[in-house]
Parts: sequence; C-alpha cells; structure tokens
Amino acid sequence: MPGSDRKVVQELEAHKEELAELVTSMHFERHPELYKKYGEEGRKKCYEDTIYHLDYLEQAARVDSQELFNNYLGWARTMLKERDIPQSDLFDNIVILREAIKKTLPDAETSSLLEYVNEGLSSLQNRKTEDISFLDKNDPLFDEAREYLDLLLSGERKEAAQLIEKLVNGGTPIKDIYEHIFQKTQYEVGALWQKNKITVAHEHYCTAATQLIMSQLYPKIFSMEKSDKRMVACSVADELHEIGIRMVTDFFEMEGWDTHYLGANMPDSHLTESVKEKNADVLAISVTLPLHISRAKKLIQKLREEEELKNLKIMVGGYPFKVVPDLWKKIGADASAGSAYDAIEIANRLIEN
Amino acid sequence: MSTQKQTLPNGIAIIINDDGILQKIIHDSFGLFSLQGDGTISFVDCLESDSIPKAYQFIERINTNDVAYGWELHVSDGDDISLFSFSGIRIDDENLLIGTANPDDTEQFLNGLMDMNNESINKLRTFMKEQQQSAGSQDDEWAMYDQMSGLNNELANMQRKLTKKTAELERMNELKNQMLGMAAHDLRNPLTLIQNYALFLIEDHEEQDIFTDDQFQLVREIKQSSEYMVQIIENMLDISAIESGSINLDKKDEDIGKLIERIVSLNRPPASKKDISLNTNLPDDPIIKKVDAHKFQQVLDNLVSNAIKYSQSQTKVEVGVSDGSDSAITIYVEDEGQGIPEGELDDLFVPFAKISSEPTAGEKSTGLGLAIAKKIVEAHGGDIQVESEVGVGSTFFINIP
Repeated sequence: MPGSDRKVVQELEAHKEELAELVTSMHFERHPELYKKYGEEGRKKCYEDTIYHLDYLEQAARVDSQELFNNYLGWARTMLKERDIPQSDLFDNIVILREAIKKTLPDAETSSLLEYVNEGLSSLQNRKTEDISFLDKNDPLFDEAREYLDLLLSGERKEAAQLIEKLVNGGTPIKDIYEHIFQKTQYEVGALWQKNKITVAHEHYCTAATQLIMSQLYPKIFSMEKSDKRMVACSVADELHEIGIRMVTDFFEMEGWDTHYLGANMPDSHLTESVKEKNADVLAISVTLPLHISRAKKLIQKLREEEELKNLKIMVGGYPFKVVPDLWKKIGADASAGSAYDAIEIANRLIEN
Repeated sequence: MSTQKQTLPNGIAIIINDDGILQKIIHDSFGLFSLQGDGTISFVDCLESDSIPKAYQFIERINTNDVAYGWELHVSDGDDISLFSFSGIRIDDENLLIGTANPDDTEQFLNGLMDMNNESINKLRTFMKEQQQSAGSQDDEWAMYDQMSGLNNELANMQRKLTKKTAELERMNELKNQMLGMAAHDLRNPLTLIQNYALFLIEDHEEQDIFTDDQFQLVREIKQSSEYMVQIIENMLDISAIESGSINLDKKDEDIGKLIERIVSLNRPPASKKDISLNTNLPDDPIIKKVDAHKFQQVLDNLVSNAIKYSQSQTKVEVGVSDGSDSAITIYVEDEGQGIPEGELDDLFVPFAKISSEPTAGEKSTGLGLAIAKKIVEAHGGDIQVESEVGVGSTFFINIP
C-alpha cells in the first residue's frame, strides 16, 4: 500500500544517515578483520554502500515494489562478486541493516520495511548470478557492433567513427545503427563494468566517443521531412546515462517528429516553460537510476498542475521501468516504453486519442 | 617460475628523501645517476626542467598518500628526452621510486626486481596492486569523470541543437528563395505589359496629340515607374538565384578592355546629359581574362552608372585598368562625386541597405546592384573594394586574379 507507506518513507529518510552510521559500526565491530584490511577508507566505503542500500529500500517503499529492491541487491551482488568481495559481506550487511532498522525506527513503522528487507534477503539467497551480455550472435549487425566496441575499448574512436561512416555510406539505415550498435554496445559497456572487466574511465570514454560519433549523423537525421508532431525529451539521469534518452529523441526525429532534447540539468520550472514554448504533444522523461524515481514523480505532478499543459502526454522510460512494469502508473505518467521503437508507436497512439 | 630466468626491462629504482635527495640506487639501467657522486644528487637532476615542478608534486603525493603511481615525467639522458612512468611508495621516512620508459613494463620490472629479492620492492608491488584495485572507487576521480561527461553532454546537446537549427534555417532560406523567384516571375509579366502599353500610348500621343500635357506626364510616369519595378524584380531574381547557389558562369576568354569600352559607350548618353565627362584609361595590349562576358558587363555597368548617378555636373568619371601582381588586374571606376561617409562603406554591398548619398538628378536605385556586383565578382574568384572621401569622390576597384 503506497499510501500507508508514506509515513515509513519519511521516517526512513529522516534517519538515513543515523542508520548508515549504526550499520557501519555494527558491521566493523562484528568483522574486526575488515578494518585491518581496508582501514578508514573501507569504513567510509561501507557507510556509502549502506546509504545506497537505504536509498533503494526507500524507493522500493515509495513505489511499493519489492522487485525494485530485489533487483538492486542482485545487481550489487554481481558487482561485488566480480571485485572479489564475498557475497556474504553483502548478506551480513543487509542482516545488520535489518537490526538497525528495528533499533532506530518506531515499531509501528518498521513492519512494512522489514518485509522488504526479508524478501530481499531471501531473493539474495535464491537468485542465481547471471552472466549477462547484450551482444547476441543472432542480432543484425552483431559483427559490426563487436568490432565497434572493441575499437572503443582500445581507445580508437576515430577508427570506430570510420566504421560507422562506412556502414552509413554502404546504405545501413541509421536507425539500425542506433539500435544494434550504439544502444547495444552502451548496454554492454555497463555490463562489462559491472563484471569488473573495464574501469569507470573506459565507460566514460566509450559514452563520450559514441556521442561524438552520433553527432556526425545529425545532419542526415535533421534533413529528413518533418510532420507537425512535437516531442520534448528530458532526463533525470546522471551524466553517464543521458545518452540513452538522446538516442530515443533522435529516433523520434527520424520518424518525422519535431524534437527538442532539453538535457539533464534543467530545473523543473524552466522545463515546464520549455514544454509550453515548444507546444509539445509528448514529453519523454528518462530515469536511469531508481533513486531518481521520486524526482520524476514530482516533476510529473508539477506538470499536471498546469492548465495549459492539460493535453500533454507524458511518457517515461529507463531501467527502473523495465524492472517494475507498472511503475509508470504509480508516478502518474501516461505510458512507458521498453524500446525506442515501442516509444514511437505508443506516442503516436497517445496523441491520436 | 623461480627457475625461469626473467629478463629485467629497463628502468630505475632509487630511494630518495623528502627533499628529493638521492639516498640509494637500487637499480639504474640507464646510468642516469651512477656517474655523479658527491652525496647531494637530487632525483630531479635527471629530469627535464619542465617536469621538475610535477616531480615535486609527485613526491608530495607520496608523502600524503604513502603511495603514488603512474606519474609521467620527462627524463633527460644526455641529449635524449624520454617519457617515463614513475611510481613511488613511502618506506620509513624515505621514498622508493621506480620508473620505466613504458608503463606496461612497470609490472615486469617489479617482477624482475623481486627476483633480485628486494623486500622494499615487494612492499611497493603489494601496495600498487591494492591501489590499483581500489583506484576505481576514488571519489575525486569519479567526480572528475562525471564532470567531463557532463561537459561532453552539454556539448552533444549544443551540437544537436545547432545542427537542427542549421537544417531548419537551410530549409527556410530555400523556401524564401523559391517564394522570391515565384513572386518575381508572377509580377514581371503583368509589369512588362503595363510598361509596353504605356509605351504604346506615348507613341500614339507623339503621332497625334491625344492627351493634355498633364495626362501625357502621367503616362510617362507610368512607364518610368513600371520600368523601375521591372528592374527591381530582375535584380531580385538575380540575388535569389545567386543566394540559392545557382549562379552559373559561362566563362570564356574575353578582352577586358573591349568590355569596358562597350559599357562606357553605353553610358555616354546619360553622362553627357548631366555634363559629366566619361574617360577610359586602358593599356594598348588586350587584357585577356576568363570571365562570363554578360555578367561581367553587368558589374561594370553598375559601377559606371552609379558613378554618373551620384556625381554632379561638370565632373569627371574615369574607368581604367591597373596592373596587379602576377597576372592579376585591377579595374577601377573613379568619380568626383559626393563621396560616401566612412561609416556606411560596409553597408554598400548589403542588399537593400540605404546610404545617405542620393542620386543627383532624381535617378532611382534598387539597392541591390552592388550586392549583385559583389557576388558576381566573387564568383569569378575576385573581390570588389571601395575608397571614398566625402566631397572629393569615390573609387571602386575590381580585382580579378
């Protein structure tokens, strides 16, 4: 019940730092060897991780989604495992978190939270770690995507750009390049980081290079015929993940929509003004980290209060909406889409009605 | 493993104190330090001067963090300068540094030194491993990457916006040219009709008086105004054709002197009407240039007729050619007219820009002639310039390569 969870969310938010502090001390008290091994830095890290766990727990409670929390724990486990950190560490930490919640928060508020934690713990025990890869031999352009990624990972962005240029000149549709090369390699880069195969620096490099290479295709995209459908897109993502919604926006542009991408850092009030000014039919909001769900929710609420925007259709997309299929309803959007192609189809349907 | 003999890659391993003074040489395959030896050799002595401040930062980093790795410094070995990757660790109030020419060699170099069973090296290796493992989690590095990606995103957004705007503007400009072309064609036909009918009436009147004087004056006004409007339209068509990129030059070898003479003789009647003397100053030999004769004459006519239009009577206009460098030539049209204020010179070649100088005998100007002339000259690879002094006169120059 999201309604009855409201108080518990407030309590959790108010005591987050206190809880993280308590969990960290308890964890290091029980495992003195950790301090010897990792020192003060390790303590700091443990505190930060606990804040993360609590953030996700809070978001799960906010939108009433156990799956969101379970999914996060699964992700964290894979990430830690690849960095040679035993998964018992994560498990212990969550067990301690449970105790800390019991100690810190008022009894009446804890029961629903503890349910999330308990379910999360059992999912940690039952879920298998999967070896994820987003590049599939059967996909169109598989070889090209592989080559593109290899070039980027070895720092050869110019060669990667040439590869794309060659494909475009050879008649490969730009949409296919977006979908099967840019998008899939971006996912793969994320997975490689999670598996500790590449560093954060690599990840940023690949993203930056792909953005640059995408921009070479802009003159082709923007010279296409336009209809009178208008779409505005924005993102409440972090810097690394902004590229996804820009790709979606370009897809709309390629479908003849008049699009405007407003970036990730625009304050809500400016955004509202821009949506009005551009006379948008559809606003697409991208959320990549579940932590940002509540921000998106607030933004949507604000937009809904505007009389002038009563015909505006709001779509949301991004990782959390894949994990929790009906999440878009809970934050007040009109629809969500799993892929750029779906997004266009749904947007067309939304504005027809 | 231990039986396998490892070759030691080139590198240096030294111990220095906090001031950078050399305490001990563990290994020095380049002989950077072995030749000196009075007890106060500094680590920075082997570096290029540019790298010295960075070297002190490096030592500072070892002091604060106990370890630093992957610092690139320029090592000077006699005449050669090469980029070394340095790593260091703090051991008992001293600093152990190792440096290799290739960062990828560092690991192998350390392994080699370990085989020599050096305990300090062992310690450095362990630290470096740990450091490398936790490197990804260093807050400041993450923040920096985020900053960089943020900048990159802004650039990408800006680029997207710019490309979109450019495409829009190109489309709009194309549309504007199309409309201009269409309007001009649709206006020209009826106007030509008016112009011709006015001419018929004038001719009829001259045969047998059919109008009062006032009426005849009106008919002449109709003819003059319609002629002027046709001229504007033709200029507009020219400009829109030029701006939409469809300026087609039919270039052939032409004698520039002949072209000038033709235009001058065409302009003699209006000049003598205003009592302006029109002279040429041409070399004896023909000046052969590859130009589009029709368009080039349009340019010359514009300059010469302007000179007449804006000059008072009893003045002089001269058209001539002066040699430029190589095979380039400069054609000039010089008048003794009213001149153009300096602040307005830049606007002269802008379509429809109004300047303060007025024709001296009520002649009309479309405001497009010089803009067209400039485009035509530029299409020939040349340029057009003006020098002017108010009250003294103006000279226009056409440079042709």
